[in-house]
Amino acid sequence: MNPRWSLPSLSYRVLGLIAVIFLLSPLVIVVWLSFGSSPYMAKPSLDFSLRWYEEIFTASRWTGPFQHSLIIAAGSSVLSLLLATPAALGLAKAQGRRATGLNFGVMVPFFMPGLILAVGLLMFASRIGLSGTFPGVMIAHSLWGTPIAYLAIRAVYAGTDTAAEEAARVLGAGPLRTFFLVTLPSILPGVAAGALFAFVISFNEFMMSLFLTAPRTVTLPVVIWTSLRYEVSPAVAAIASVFIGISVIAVIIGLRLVGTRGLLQLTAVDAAKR
Amino acid sequence: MGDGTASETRGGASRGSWARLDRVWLALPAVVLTALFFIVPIMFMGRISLSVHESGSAYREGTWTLDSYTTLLTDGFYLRIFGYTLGVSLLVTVLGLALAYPLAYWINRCGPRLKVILLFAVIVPLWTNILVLIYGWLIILSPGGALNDGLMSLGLIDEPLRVVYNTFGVVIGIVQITLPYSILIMAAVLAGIDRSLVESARDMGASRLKAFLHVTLPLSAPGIASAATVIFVWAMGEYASPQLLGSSAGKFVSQEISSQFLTAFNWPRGAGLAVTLFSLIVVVLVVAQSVARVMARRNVA
Repeated sequence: MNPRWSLPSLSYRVLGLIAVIFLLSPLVIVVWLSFGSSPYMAKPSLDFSLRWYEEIFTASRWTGPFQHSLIIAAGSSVLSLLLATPAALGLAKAQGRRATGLNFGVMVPFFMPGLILAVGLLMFASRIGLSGTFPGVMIAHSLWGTPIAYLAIRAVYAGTDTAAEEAARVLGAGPLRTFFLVTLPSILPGVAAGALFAFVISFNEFMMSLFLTAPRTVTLPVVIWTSLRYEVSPAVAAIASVFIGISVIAVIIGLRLVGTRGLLQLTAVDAAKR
Repeated sequence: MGDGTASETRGGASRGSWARLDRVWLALPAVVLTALFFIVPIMFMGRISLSVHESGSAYREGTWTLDSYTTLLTDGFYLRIFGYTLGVSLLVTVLGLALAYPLAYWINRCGPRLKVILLFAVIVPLWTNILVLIYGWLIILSPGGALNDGLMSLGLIDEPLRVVYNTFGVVIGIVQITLPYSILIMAAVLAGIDRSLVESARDMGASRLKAFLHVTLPLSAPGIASAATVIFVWAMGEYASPQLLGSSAGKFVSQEISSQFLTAFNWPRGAGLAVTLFSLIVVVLVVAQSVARVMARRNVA
């Protein structure tokens, strides 16, 4: 008997398939609904229409927040990289208590629910004038963006050889020169992956945005939230499909940057270990 | 993974130890971000939770009281909210682990092409806005939605099942949101298990199932434990799923925090709830960390 088709090996595949179907069914149904023409949040039908896509790309109640989301995600991704890159270089190969403590300091906001961060920042941001501003939300999102970018860069840097860096230093290159000419090129996949992760996190985040944005900075997820609570229009399905599309593109880019193994490890093992 | 490079670094430490000593401080800017925008707000929150509530102005500055905490501990309303949150979180953790493990196992055993497809199926929902996922489940589970429609047209049920706007809906929502994390964590741990151990168990006559139960499963315990931690902590702080898929009869702590801040304007009570939730999460993380340490030690020995 072929062992592939024995009962135990068949059973984990069947159970695994159930999990896959569970994971993907809400995405499939949203995309399907978005191409329908019915004005209600109903079951998907078989007619095809692009009217909801036309609406979300022309009506300012969707396009404005879409721009805000992109600005905030880009800004928060840059800020996260500026903080995460030095942290990763400093801690990737370090050991001892101080390194452990600093690592903890970088990682800890990552494990906090958005609501806790949001409520804390709400009370604090209004005092220092960051409430409702772009920098305020960018900083808030960097609380998650920095740790994830740090993990990505650290994982790549930990796998590189320090010999080239040391050679550059011995030959008289300063720390900055060594960084830009030797270190940065070798950690570039990690930096790019880190930027991508931080961008995706910020683009999707809604809890902190809900508490910290004002009408002129409101992000797309907050608009979805309001719409889901008060009047569900299938335009939401079209917006939701755009989110799914962006996620698919991001995963493809991620696979290109760090490969299957890299993506598996970056998204999981480090986050779990700390 | 990083053991090789770590020992190399230790070997070369004598060459430039002053440089390496300074290097860890490169992490300082990132830690300052945490300090300024996480630690300081938490302390601020702690201080406000100890203030007197004043209707109209959120809280009275400079006052001290334990009111918000005594209310939380004595009022059955708040105890029920914490109980419900913890109970649902526990249920979600068990269900999530049961759903995640077979898929994580499959990801490790299948060929490279299928692996990419399966990872895709896991990471795309992970990187999709959680409101989009919840919206999808609303369409599926609502009384006139896809699930009930399908079951009724098949003649399996006569009237719509109540599968949303109750605890069932909340559980589905949180399992959906946390499932990718637990799958990835367990897949990563399973990938690190030495296959030769399983094969030698098989060589010695253990059945496939026995080899799995006595070798693979115990070795994957650290992965199960950290996946459980991630699911549980996420569930305790979850807000969107109970708000959109639950009912007003089953409230999560986060919902109560948010309504204290945004509608009741009772900042001391909201802050007290937030500090309590935060402390519970810290306790869970600390316990998980020490469990992981014990397990790691046992696996080495």
